[in-house]
Amino acid sequence: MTTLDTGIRVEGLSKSFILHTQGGARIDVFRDLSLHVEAGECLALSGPSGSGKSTLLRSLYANYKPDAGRILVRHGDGVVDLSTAAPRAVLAVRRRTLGYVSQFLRVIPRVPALEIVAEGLGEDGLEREEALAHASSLLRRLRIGPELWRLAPKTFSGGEQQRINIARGFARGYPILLLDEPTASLDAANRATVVELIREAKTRGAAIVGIFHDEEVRDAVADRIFTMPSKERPQ
Amino acid sequence: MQCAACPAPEHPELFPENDPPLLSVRGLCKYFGSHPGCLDVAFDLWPGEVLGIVGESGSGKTTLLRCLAGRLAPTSGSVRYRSEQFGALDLLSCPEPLLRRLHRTEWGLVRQNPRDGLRLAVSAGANIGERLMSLGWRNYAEIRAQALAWLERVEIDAARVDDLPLTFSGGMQQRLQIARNLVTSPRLMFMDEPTGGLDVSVQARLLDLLRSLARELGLAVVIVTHDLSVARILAHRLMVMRRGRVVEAGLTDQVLDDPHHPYTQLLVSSILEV
Repeated sequence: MTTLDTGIRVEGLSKSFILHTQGGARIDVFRDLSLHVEAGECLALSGPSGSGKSTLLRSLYANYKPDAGRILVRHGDGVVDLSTAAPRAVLAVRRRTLGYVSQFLRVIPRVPALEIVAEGLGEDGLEREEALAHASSLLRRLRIGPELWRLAPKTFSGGEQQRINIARGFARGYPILLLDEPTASLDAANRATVVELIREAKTRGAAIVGIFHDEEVRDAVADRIFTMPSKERPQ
Repeated sequence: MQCAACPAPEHPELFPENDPPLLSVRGLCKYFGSHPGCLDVAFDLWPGEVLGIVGESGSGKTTLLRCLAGRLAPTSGSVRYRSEQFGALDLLSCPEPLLRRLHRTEWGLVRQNPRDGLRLAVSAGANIGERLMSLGWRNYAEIRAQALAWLERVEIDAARVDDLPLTFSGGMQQRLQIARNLVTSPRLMFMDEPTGGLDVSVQARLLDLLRSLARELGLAVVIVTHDLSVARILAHRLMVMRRGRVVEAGLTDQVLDDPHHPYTQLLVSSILEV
C-alpha cells in the first residue's frame, strides 16, 4: 500500500468537462496539477474567477471525477486514492476523514438545525447528549440563537444557512477539511469566529484546503498559497 | 446463463472489499419477446446502502426492479441474495415457496400506488398485522401492539388503527404501506416511485421518514424514481438507465454534479431549479 505522511497529496490531477448537450464542447479546467497539504496546515487556493479553484476543491471531495491523476488521503491506518475509490470507500472517507464546507446548505426537508450540526458526531465517539451539547455550543459561537435550533433551516436567511453549514463542518474532528468560501456572506463578527474555528482545527492537526476571497481571512489562516495555473487555450 | 446483449461473462467487482454484499446482480437481462426490457445490468448492494435507479419512463427501471424483487422472471443473468435465514441464494433458481417466504420476512416492496400494495378491505391495523400472522403470530394483543407501534413510527395517529385505508389520504396510505412492510424488520426494500403520486409537501415528509428509517434500521434499499431530487436526498449511489441499459453509475452527488454520459447530462440539465 502507498504510504502517505501528509494529510492530502494530489499528483498529476487533470479535469475537463465535455458538454454533450452543448455540441460536445470541451472545457479543460486544469491539467497535471500537483499539491500537498500537511497536517495542521492551511493551503489557500488562489487565482482569478474561472481558474478552476472550486472545480479543484470539488474534485478533492470526489464530487467531481478527475480525468487523470491521484488524490491520496490518509484514512484511518490506510491511504485511499479518491480518484479511483469505489463509491462505498468514498462515502467512508467522507464520513470519517474528509469534511467539506460549501457556500450553500443543501436543506433536507424537516431536519432541524441542531440535528444537521449534530449529525455524524457519533462517528467521533460522542454520545447523543454530548453531540447535542457540542452542536449547541458551536451554533452559539456562530450566533445562531436557541430559538432557531429546533427549526429546519429552509426559511433561514442565506447567512444563517451558511453558519449552520459551517457549524456542521467544524463540529466534526475531520482530519482533512475543504472550505469553499466559508465567510462569503458573513458579517465581521462571524468572520472572526470562522477564523478562530479554522485556527483551532489547524491546532488539532487538520489539513485544510480553502478558497477565501476575503484577503483578510486568507492572511489570517493560510500558511501557503497555491496559485492555479493559467489556463491553456483550447486547441 | 449468457445472452447476446452481454459482451463479457464476468463483471469486475464493483467494490473489492471483504464484507460480502447482500445482493449481487450480474448480467441481468429481461426480454419481452424480442423487445429488451433491461440489458446486462450488474451491481452489488450492501446492508445500509440505498441504490437509486433513475431514468425516464420506459427506460427499464421498473422492469429491473420487478426482476430483482422476484416478481418477474429474468431472461438471463444471476441475482444472488445473502439471506439471514437461508444463507446464500441464487434467486433465479430459488423455489417459489422460499421466495414467498423471503417476501414476507426479509424483503419489502413499496409500490407507487399504495392501493396496489395495501389490502383495502381490511383495517390499517390488519394491514400491518398481516405479515406477522402469515409468520404464525396468533396473539391478537401482541399483533395489535405491533400495529400501533408501527403506526406511530410512520406518523399515523394510533386512533386510526381500525379505519380502512381508503379513508386515509394518499400520503397516509403510502406511510401505511411502508409500515406494513417494515413490521417484520426486512433487510432489503424495493421501492417503485414511492413519492410519485403525492403532493410536494407530503413528499417531503415521506422522504424524511424514508431517509431516517433506512438509516436507523440499516436497510438496504433499491429505489426507482424519475425524480432526481428524491434520488439526491435518499440514494447513496445511482444507476442511470436508458433503453434498458445502465449508461452511468456511481456516487449520487458525482453522477448528478458531474454527469459524463450524454443522457445523464440531458436528464440533469432538464431539472427545473427551484
